[in-house]
Amino acid sequence: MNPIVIATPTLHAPTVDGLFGTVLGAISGVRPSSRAPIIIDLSRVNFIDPYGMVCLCQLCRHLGNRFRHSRLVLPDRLDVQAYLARMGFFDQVAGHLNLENQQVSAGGGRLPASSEVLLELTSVRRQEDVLEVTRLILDRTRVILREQLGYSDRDVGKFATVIGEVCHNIHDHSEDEGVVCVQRYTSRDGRKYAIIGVADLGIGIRASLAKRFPHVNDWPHYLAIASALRKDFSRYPDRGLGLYIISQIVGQYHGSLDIRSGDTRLSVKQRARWVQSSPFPGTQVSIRLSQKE
Amino acid sequence: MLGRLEPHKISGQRGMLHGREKGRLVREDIIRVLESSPADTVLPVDFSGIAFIDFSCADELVSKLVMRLSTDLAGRHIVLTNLSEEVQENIAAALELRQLVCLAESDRAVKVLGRLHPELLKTYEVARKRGRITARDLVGAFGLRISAGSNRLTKLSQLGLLARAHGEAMERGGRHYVYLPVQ
Repeated sequence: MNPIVIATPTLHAPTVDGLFGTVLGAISGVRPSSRAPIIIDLSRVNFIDPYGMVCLCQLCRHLGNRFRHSRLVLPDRLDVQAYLARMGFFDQVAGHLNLENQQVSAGGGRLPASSEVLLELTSVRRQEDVLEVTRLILDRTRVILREQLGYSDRDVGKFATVIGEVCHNIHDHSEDEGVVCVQRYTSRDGRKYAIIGVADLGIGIRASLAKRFPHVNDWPHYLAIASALRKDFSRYPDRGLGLYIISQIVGQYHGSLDIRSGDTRLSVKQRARWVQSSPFPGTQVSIRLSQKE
Repeated sequence: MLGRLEPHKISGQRGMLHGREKGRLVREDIIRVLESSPADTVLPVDFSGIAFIDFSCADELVSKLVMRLSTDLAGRHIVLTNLSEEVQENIAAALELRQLVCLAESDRAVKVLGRLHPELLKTYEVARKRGRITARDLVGAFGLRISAGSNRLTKLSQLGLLARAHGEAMERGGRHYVYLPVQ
């Protein structure tokens, strides 16, 4: 089988849909027992944001679960490899497939001055992991968020709340494990912002809601995602506020929210937009929070 | 004045409370204390050992506790004490989403967390200043009719901010209820 070349240079919320489509389309006829390796070629990629990174982790895991031989050709650019290494990407995917074109060791090198790691790729398997992620955010990033994004302690608390809530969803709803990472950036116009990426390979939003509301199984995925954002609509009675509070906080910080589940991605930046994605397991979330005005 | 119990101090792992399961466990601890306490008392719930509480935990711990106080635990009251700004933020957000309120106290100042109609808030503040309040008091203070005043006090009682104490005979006959502020 020919390598699956990822032509897009940027992996972030708008382009990951295409990544899933390209890869899944290419492997659709391949049997799990096939001896021919599945090769994903990222050599042309020169930017991966936290959402791109967590989705890539889960894609690697998905391939590793299904096929005996899978390989990932890393980006040619050394700074991108250094970033992946610094974020712990090599360690995350090492058990799922082989890496090729690796020129930077795990542990990485220096990052560009415009970016800053707030949280490396961190697995979320148990409730204790959610506590640990929240603690890391509060302990390690408070000064950076205060100095770089102009956040008060209250704002830092809200930031940690968003991350905690989206991680809780992995544990409470996905029936799987997930991964989270956070990065701070400076845009070309000098504005600072943070991006949170969270992804799992679980049952997805529609199937989770259907545990309590069986008729939801007949809904299109976009309707399930929209319902999950409503207050008080949850798999569990007396709950259903987590995604709602996340969307409220995102609005307060002039941010954006992308939620991908099933074959649909909801993108909210002031207004909501539905984007057709490729069917892929689990739920993937990108949250962007901007500096205080 | 309502009796005040010994503060019930909450603890969390490294000063953090997270997740619904933890919120449920802490809530049940508090309920056990409340159930064994006499009616018409206020239990201060001390958050001085808590640096952070996430939204899910705040909802499970505080919102659902407040809901219980308006049903099977009616007659018992709580006030949250020593909340940091971050802790207060998530508790207030959880209460607002459920359209509930709860009292918070720090440095002797009492605050209502959650969203409360301004008129209800003013009425509660009048009750706090006077130490007690009746529907007739609201006629004088706000120009309300007795029935409207009575409805307002009932509402505040349902929200857990006032405790209905006892009935009093009125000068021209009949009785009215005296309400005490929870504080």
